[in-house]
Amino acid sequence: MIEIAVQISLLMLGASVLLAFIRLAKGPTTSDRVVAADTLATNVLGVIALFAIQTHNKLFIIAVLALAILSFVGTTVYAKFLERGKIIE
Amino acid sequence: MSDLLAAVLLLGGSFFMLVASIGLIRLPDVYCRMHAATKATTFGMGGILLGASLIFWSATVTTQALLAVFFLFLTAPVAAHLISRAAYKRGPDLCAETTHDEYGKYLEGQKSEEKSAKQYGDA
Repeated sequence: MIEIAVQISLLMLGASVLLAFIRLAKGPTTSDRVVAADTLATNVLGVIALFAIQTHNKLFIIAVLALAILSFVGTTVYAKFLERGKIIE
Repeated sequence: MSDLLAAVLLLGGSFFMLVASIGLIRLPDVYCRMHAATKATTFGMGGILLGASLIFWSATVTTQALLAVFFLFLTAPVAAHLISRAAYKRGPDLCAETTHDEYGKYLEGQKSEEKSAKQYGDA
């Protein structure tokens, strides 16, 4: 039962990665693209967690934590770049 | 029983992620899109990670998953706030249906205050 649930969840997450990528490619403004990239990162976190379940490998869960921190830092830096036009002052 | 609960959590979590991405595609402007994306994605990640910790059922995985959920719940609103502020300062592309624009009023007030301070300084 878990296997089927993981398969269906992976399908759903694949669809949502596709939709976020469409927004990333289309997005009229740069802010739209940053929002899409943030969503894409969180979707990839979900895919990693599901992959950990599918392969019975516990080690991938800590990758989720590390990537969450990285994606937060990335989003913050992008926001600062949008606001000021430069990152390091 | 625990398997059933884990499957429901996984499916619910990925359903919320899908809803977030559909909102990202369909809503009219940056602020609406971010509202959809941030909240639903965070909730979905919570579901998926709790499901994973139920399936593995070990202290290490549960601790890591709870830490990740805690971190996501802590940082997602901060990131959303930062992006929306930057997007507004870059040029507020509000959609036509917008009824309230409090931040615009606040920025206007700040500007006029600065102007009057400058006038006093000149005098």
